[in-house]
Amino acid sequence: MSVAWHRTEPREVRPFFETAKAENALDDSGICLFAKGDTSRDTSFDLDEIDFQKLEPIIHAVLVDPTQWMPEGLTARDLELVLIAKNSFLKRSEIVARSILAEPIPTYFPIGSELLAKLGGGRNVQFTLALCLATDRPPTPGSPFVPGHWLARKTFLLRSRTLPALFDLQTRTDEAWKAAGYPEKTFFAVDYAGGIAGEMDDGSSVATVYIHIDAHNGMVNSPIGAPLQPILASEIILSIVTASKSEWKDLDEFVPSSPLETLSRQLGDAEPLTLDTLKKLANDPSRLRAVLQDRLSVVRGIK
Amino acid sequence: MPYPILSKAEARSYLVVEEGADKPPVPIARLADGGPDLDWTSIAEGIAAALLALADKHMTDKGKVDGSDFEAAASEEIHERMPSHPALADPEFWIWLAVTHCEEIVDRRYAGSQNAKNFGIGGAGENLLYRLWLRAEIAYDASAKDRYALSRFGDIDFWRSHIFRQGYADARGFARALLEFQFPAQAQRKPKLKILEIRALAKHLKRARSNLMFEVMSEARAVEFIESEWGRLALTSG
Repeated sequence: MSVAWHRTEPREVRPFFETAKAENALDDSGICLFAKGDTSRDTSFDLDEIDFQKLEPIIHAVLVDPTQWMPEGLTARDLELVLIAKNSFLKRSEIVARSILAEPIPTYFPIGSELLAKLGGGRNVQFTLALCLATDRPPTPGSPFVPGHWLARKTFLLRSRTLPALFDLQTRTDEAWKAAGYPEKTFFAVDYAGGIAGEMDDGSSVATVYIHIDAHNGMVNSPIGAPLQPILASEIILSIVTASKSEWKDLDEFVPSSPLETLSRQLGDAEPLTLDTLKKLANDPSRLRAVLQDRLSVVRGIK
Repeated sequence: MPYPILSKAEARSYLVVEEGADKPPVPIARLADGGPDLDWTSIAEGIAAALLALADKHMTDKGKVDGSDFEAAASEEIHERMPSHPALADPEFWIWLAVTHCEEIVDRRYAGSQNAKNFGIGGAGENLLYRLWLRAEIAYDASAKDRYALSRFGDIDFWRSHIFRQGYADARGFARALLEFQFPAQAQRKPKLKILEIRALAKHLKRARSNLMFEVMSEARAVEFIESEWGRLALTSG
């Protein structure tokens, strides 16, 4: 008799089974993104351009009492708490702070504007708080032995809120709007090109969104941009979904890696939106608008 | 303050033209906001002039283009001329630079095998100008007599496969340690490991990265680590 093995779920297994109790020691750590903002324990943040311009991150390190997790054979003198900031596109990472656990450790780690600038202004930056071995140790099965072997860590990722596979943004002057057959002071228009439900070529997008250059610059340079950007994004995506629905209303499932599937993941909450849910929403623009406003945090921008 | 950008779609509509159709005009840059105000046109023109001079020296029209010598020299030139600025973290800035000022350079570098992806319209990391800059940026050692020494070693495949595409190279000290290991000064910078060997080592280091914060290692400690890992790998592979 043969047994067929099926993978049910992937799970990361770390080699340091002697220090397993320490793995959650930093789970309650958080990040505050803006001055006078709240600290969040979330690990991933999608931010608009407006947000990056007022970014003043502070990492709040919360470490469970070491007596509850300190592995046998290790002491506070052997471990250090390290905060690393990284931008993978620039291939640049910086140690923001490091403290041996046996010494007093700061609770709050502000990230200065100079460091943020070195890391591209905060776009697509990761901040990793890690409890690491500080010194070399003789190799022992199940225990860390090289400086930098981590026992616990938590990473906060700041991403630009763009949907590169969905639309491309271009600005238009008064004259350009007129030449395109629109009133001079049109705020924005969506030109859906097709292909949302299928595979995309690298570098293409399914729509071009034209926005008045004065409005674009106003949104970037003034406080009105904060509430307006997510509202605009909601309206743009609504236009694309409703303009495209004839292409996907009869599909049984998403084409893998299609822009439509990507959109369903980005608009989902704990789970991606199903195709059936998207079909229902496409037929109910008011409810679709509500879902978009919720997912894109419109109300937070207005508050 | 603004810096120029071009999107992938804008670049693509210019670069990818149907056979027989007229080439459209060079797209007009849009502006993104961030960092100090700089004369990007002058900076780009300076970079283009320097790289064209190197292209004339290293890439003639005859025979197969060998980009290795060109890229080794060009990386230092572009790095010296490029200011430190948040624009460098924006893939659309690099697309603007490649398309509006360095199109001839990219075309000559890939003569006979041209592909729009070298302008960054596919994966952002494939943009030639970005890769040239990044090579020097990673190798740069401000405290060394020859600050760009490490950028001159290694062929294109080495840099692409074992540095640019690897997460462990986000820790620059570790990336430099790997360069020092593979091109040791005491061996006149000749490659230490053969192609299959360095591939195996890179795979091993990639796995080690999942449990090790390479950033906390000094460069000297990183060299020791790489040497010991190679020692273990060489033993087990017989």
